[in-house]
Amino acid sequence: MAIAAYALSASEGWSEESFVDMDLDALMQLDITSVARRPMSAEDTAAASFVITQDDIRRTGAATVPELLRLVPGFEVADIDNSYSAVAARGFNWRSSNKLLILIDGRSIYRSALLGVLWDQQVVAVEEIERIEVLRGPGAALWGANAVNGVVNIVTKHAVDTLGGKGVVRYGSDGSGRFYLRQGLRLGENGAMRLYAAGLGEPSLEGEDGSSLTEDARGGQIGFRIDWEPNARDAFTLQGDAIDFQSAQSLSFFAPGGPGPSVREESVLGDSVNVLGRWVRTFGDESGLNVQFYFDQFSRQEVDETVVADATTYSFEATNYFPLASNYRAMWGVGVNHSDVSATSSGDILVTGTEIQDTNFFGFLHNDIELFDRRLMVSAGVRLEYNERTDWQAHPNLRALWRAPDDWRLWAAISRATRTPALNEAAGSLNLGGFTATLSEELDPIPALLSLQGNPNIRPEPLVAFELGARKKWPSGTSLDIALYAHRYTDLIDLNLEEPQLLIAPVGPGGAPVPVAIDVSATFANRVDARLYGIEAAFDARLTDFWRIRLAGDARHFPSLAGQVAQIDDSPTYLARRSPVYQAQFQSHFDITQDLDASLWVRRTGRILDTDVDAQTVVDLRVGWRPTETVEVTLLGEGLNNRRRPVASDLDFLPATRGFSERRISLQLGIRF
Amino acid sequence: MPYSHTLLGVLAVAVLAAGVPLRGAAAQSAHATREDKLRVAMIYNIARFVRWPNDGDPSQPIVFCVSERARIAPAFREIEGKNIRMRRARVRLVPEEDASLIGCSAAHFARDGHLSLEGARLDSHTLTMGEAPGFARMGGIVEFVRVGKQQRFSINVAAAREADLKVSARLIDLAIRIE
Repeated sequence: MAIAAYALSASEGWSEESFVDMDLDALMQLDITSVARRPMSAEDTAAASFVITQDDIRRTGAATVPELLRLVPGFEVADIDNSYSAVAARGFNWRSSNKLLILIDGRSIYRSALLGVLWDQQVVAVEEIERIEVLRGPGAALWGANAVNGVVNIVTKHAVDTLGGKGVVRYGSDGSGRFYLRQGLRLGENGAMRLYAAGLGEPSLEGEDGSSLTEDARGGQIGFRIDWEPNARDAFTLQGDAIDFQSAQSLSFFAPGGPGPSVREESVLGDSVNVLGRWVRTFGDESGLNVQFYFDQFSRQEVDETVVADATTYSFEATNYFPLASNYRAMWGVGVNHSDVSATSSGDILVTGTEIQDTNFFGFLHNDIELFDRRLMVSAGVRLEYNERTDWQAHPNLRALWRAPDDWRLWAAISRATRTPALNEAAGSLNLGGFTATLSEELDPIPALLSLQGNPNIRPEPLVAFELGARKKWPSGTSLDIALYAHRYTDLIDLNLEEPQLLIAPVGPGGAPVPVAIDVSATFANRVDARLYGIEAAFDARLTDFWRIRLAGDARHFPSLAGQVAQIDDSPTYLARRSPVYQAQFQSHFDITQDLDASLWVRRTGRILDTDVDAQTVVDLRVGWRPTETVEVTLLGEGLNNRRRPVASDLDFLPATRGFSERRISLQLGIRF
Repeated sequence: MPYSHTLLGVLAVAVLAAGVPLRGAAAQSAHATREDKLRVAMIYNIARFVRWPNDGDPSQPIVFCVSERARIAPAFREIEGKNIRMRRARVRLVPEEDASLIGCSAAHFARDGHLSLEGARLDSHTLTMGEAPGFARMGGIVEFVRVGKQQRFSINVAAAREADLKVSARLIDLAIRIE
């Protein structure tokens, strides 16, 4: 299901919009019989939407999905080590950001029970991506729980678009590298398939003294996709991939009972495999059925393989859409997801009793109606979900879009979404070293030994969001898009701290007793309310045929956290404030000749609240040259304005050593064959 | 359940209200099929990625030619009068008794039309597009390819060069095959 669901009105016949005004790559996503897979028309969407196109992918030179998501106003992407980025929309950004739902072709890579999306283990080759559809704000009415502050759907290419061979190899001045290799072939008149392999390597970050913090990170992926369309009514897709990943983290530990803080390099290993099948049947011009299933097996070992998490998910979903009148369309669907999740440990970080079987049943209904000679579009829908842990949850929304004079689009939305508590919030216990406490200025910091207890009575975190937006597209292709939002969170999960226990030993001057450690026990509970206000804006100007600029930015105000907020560093809601107050970016894409183009990308990120991460400006420059039609050479400079810049280690879970990312010059060669 | 009853109430009313069709379903009658409309939109968009030697003169229209007999011909009405880099798009439906494509900036060779690449008289800078299998291999510049329900194209860059047409790298990226 595409994000287009919020823009059904833009479909052919209903809105009488002409294909001619669409971009060529968007046109190529339409099949010749059905409007079902029409990509979203961002212009006619009653939501804060954004689409990252293949042209964006090429012109940014991005190698990973998080790098591409930096394009989206309102999204925060902060590198926290050499392979892991914290990614969030509208605040709440840290290693385990949990309010942003990420899908790849409709398959969720948000692991509800395992603290969100593990980005380092998602080795998605950008060459596989057709486009990335982004919705900021709640999307739970269609996509369900955890689509709280946004939804991202990564759409991979149809197999027919990857016929023939392609090879890409990149090498960076810091030792980084990546490759992609693919071969696609036709399967008779009505089908196509591809096989591909991809890999990337990232060198260690530098420490304060310039030394390497950890081992390099390496990841690899192999996959396939088959598309078969035997007749005018049916389309079948089967796809799958397997990922293997390894990296290392530099963590600062106070091991329970240990002698004091020590920086340790801990390995991280991960592997996963998934298979997805989809059947789309078209009944008529504007009605159809979409049936999808997937299997996803995921495994990860952290802290030198002493903490092990496994998750196996099966998912089935069927969606039916149809018109009831020339101005009214409906869509409904039902489905079930089942996950077996476990986490165990055998080292300093002790995880016990954490095993969950999650079965989630859901159904949704979505209606779009156009009124007043198509000037007003109203969308209303609700998704109901049930699972044993969270009971029934309703995710309703109501959206309206007014096609105002002079091609302005004004929209408003009110919606509700929830986040499902993670495994460690709901069950078991987690005993951690790794925190420091400062009791007074006279005393040195001492280890804080933290024990986190899951709460079987924990409830989902609900959000009610109010949004307003305006956008305009000029005939020249220039566009303006502004969104305002007010989010009201209730029952945010935070830690309920027990009375800390001081451990005292006679190790002070003259054998005086002094505190040597503090033992803190905490239980997760729904105890905090929060309000968040913000603005996001993007301006895209096509100045000439060969020059395009983009300006985008966002700002937010986090006025209040009400309730009992645990004032410790890694309290979940305390982390909510760890967002830059503002972000701004400027892009310039210039086609120098038919075969040579250059892009400049300047990003400014404000200071991240409650951390030591200062405001930063990052300048990237990319030059692409095609000596022949089948060869492209790309020169990419990243972080050109600084020899090195600090990464946002503060957004990590355990206190990590501050790392620095080097300026990087990369050369990439791509060949079609 | 911890949600706002007021909000749900509003939404329930809206869902019910939206469930009542205001007008009966009206079938859209169209002269051109969806496939034809899509192909014409692609033809127009492909032309936007091509530069002709006389592109600098906005008074010169970009003339799209297609056999009057071809089923796709009515769909070409969509692009009449549109602009491509300040140049006006014009459509010429070539009558059956005529095989001359002189003056055509772009010519579409439909399978059911009377025009053929071998038999047509062309300008030296004509963007030739066709539907017949092997069209690009036989010297045409853009060949439309259908795989299942998907419509794509392959491109013969040597033929484009020979016609002194500059084809954008972006167009080459989108082609499923390069001859």
